[in-house]
Amino acid sequence: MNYFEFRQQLLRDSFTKDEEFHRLRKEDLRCAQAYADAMNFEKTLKRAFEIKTPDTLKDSIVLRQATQNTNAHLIRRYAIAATIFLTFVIMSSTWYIKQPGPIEKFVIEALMMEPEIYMSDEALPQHQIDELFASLNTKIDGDFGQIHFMKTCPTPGGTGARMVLMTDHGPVTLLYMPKANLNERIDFELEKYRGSIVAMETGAVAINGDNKQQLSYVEARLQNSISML
Amino acid sequence: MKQKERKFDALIGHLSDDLYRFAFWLCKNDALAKDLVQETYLRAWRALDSLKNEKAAKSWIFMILRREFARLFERKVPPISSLDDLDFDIEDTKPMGPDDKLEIDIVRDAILKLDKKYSEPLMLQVVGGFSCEEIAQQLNITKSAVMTQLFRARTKLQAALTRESKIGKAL
Repeated sequence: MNYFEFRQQLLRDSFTKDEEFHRLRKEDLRCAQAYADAMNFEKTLKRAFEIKTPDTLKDSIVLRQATQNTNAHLIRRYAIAATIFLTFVIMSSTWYIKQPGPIEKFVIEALMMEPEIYMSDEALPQHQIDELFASLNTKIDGDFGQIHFMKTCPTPGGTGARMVLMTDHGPVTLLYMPKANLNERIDFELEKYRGSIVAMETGAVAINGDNKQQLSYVEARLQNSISML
Repeated sequence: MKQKERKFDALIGHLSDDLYRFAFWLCKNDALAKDLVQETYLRAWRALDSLKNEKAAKSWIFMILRREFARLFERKVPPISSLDDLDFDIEDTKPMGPDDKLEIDIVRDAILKLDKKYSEPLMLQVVGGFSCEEIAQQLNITKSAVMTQLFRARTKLQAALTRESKIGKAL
């Protein structure tokens, strides 16, 4: 290997393990200088490629991964349908309201922006749910049910949470807004689906499912379970 | 299921940052890159049982990402050929001085101008940390072709750096 070949190798792969290359790097002054220059360039090149990765990247990968089995896929389809339906239901209801309130507006926008709910096929552990509710300055008492998805999100007045609750009659989509002030309950009904936005001890919650019994059950559970810390 | 999750995490869970960077420079767009990485992990999750050689997990997932890019994302890549075309500032992992920043921006600009046949092997080498043999396998070309492309890619980047630095000093 001569100096010219050495420089060519630097441009191809300066981290080669070739013995002749490394011998020249140590023994030949011109090669040593070329190697030092190449290392400086490699440092710049490496830093050029090193961009900051999004903070939410790992979470979004885990959530997407968690949806991947047959049952979860089926459940997710129901959840997606329920969420999309909630969007339509709320939009339909607000059609009749000349000036929709900020909560209705928010719910519509939030669901329109993120119509897909990601779910795990297993219920979230209770401690994780407790921590999430505690981060909202609320607590949950008793058996609330099987929450398969929960994620905090911005809501009117502060942080809230989006959840999917599994019941015997299928998934129910919830959007909990602990800082929202709702003056009166809003009920919706379209075909076999039903939805409500109800006032809670702290804030309000939008509930959507496809069964009256299911909705009543969830609403009662919510009213009895969620309270301020 | 838990066993599969553990295996998945151990083999490729730690590669998300490298995959995102590789995806970003392929897509030249943050949102597309995130989607591409998520899609790659989904594909990998579904196909995990087909991974016979666990030592090749890194090559395997980079291969999936490249295929997903070609299948779904390549046609969506915005026409970007310089840093000025990006509608956002690239966020760096570490703070840097103005001179370093200038050099790095020149190199980034030159990377965006590189033809894919030069930029892809370079990204696989620098971001992925693959050897020339592994890159040849990934791209299904000969090792000597990879070495030629790497040589030309670096020559172009160095030429840009020399040229732009001189302009910078003259100004």
